[in-house]
Amino acid sequence: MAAVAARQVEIDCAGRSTREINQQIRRAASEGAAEIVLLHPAGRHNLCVALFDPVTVRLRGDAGWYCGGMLDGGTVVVEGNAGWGVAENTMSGRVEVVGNVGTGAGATMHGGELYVSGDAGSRAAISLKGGAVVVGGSVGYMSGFMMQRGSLVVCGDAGEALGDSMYEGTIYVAGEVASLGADAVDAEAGDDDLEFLRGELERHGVDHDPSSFRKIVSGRKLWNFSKKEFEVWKTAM
Amino acid sequence: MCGITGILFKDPERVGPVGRIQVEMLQALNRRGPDSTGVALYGPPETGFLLRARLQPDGEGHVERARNAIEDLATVRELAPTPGGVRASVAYEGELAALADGVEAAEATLDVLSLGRSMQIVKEVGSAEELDGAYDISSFEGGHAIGHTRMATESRVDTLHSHPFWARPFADIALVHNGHVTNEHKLRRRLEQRGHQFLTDNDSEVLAAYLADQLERGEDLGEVLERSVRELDGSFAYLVSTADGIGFARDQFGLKPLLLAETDDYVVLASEDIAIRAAFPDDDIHPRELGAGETRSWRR
Repeated sequence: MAAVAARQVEIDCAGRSTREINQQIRRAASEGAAEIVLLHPAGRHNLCVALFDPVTVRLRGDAGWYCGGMLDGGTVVVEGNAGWGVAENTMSGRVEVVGNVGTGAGATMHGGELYVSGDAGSRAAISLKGGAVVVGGSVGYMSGFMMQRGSLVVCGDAGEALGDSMYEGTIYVAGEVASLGADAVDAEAGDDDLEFLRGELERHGVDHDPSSFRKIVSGRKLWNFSKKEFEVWKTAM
Repeated sequence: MCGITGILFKDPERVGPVGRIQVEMLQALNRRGPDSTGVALYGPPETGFLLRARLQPDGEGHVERARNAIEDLATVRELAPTPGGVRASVAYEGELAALADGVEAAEATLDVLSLGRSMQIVKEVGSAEELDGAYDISSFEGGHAIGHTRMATESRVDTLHSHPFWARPFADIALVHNGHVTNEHKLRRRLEQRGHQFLTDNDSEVLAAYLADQLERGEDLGEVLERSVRELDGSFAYLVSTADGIGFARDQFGLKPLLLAETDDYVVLASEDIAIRAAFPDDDIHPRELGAGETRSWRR
């Protein structure tokens, strides 16, 4: 570990165990580093998990699985692609991926934000409990499955069964939707939606017309079992 | 788990370091399956057949017995011992099933691992580094290759149960698989009724023959891959290689990981990005996770 400039620290991942790297990140953050740069991450898993300090960690290359998981307050920028479960269970803070990500992006996030400039795999924002997942490209199938709060913004296309069995929360899609999942329904976008989208798109530098997004919410037919709507349940199960 | 890897250079004239790339990718995936490692390597086609076989250690003279067993059925141009068996170049005109079954019947300690004009399968218990140390995989140059690192779940840990599986008795066709095909018994019975023989109780060996059987009937690889997604039950991400190409399929729930990166020069596939970055650390590529139920194939 070598100080490059005041409050900036570089850590070379090559030759270090993941545990060593994560411990060095936490130590540097607790000692007041403002920015930590990880060199040669080389697709390694579990980097920057459980980061609780208000520090920015910048990965110069690809990250593996669960990058930035359980983040609370920090910022993680991946200058490359990331694998499964990026920003999983984030409580607060920000994860940005300048590339593509794998399945389960932003799964079970409680707060904070995940921005992916490229495409996300299947099950993006699955079981989302808060915060915002913004994808510059497309998302795979079953994205937004059982989401409970928060927002998923998709600037490209969405795969099959979008928003399946979602309880609450909002999904916005600018491109084509292969199909909606059980009890996911279209809703009319209001001023609040347009304002939210405008803010998100501007913040991430995405050039899209907020009014071009389709809004999808829960039809709430699965909230309580009703024999009269047995067909809806049959499809969902 | 298990890790699978594929590399194909698109230009049919291009011969590249597919052996080194496979070793680097498989070693990076070692944690996904430390039990055994294997590769199917494709070089320029030969006029005859390349035969790779496992020999059980059985005192002295078993290599010569293997030579005799092969010579009874084919003309041996070259035969050399390997750390786990023999490799041979043979001239042969008949059915490959008769050759493979014949040499195994003649020499009880021998099991044919692969037969093809351009394909050689090398596989052993242990890591990619150990396989490379024993067989010098890294020095192999060719057009394409697939590889596998195995975490055994339902069948034995030994050379025969390692991947890739030769799609016996079809020349030059091999398969690597991460997953569990739950209706393999049905497919196995169907193929056995038509005369196929299997060396193991591994579902992936059946999958290899299931695909090759359709290809040999003249079906297009793309159609065969698509049909497999509909007909196979269970979880799977697999790569199948032929004399001039590679294809993949992923199950309809996307339960097993598979990534693709493609440039004008090459196609690389792997279970995880960590493998792709191990072999191509500095290339400007953007590996993409393949969709559930997605299939695709490439020909050189």
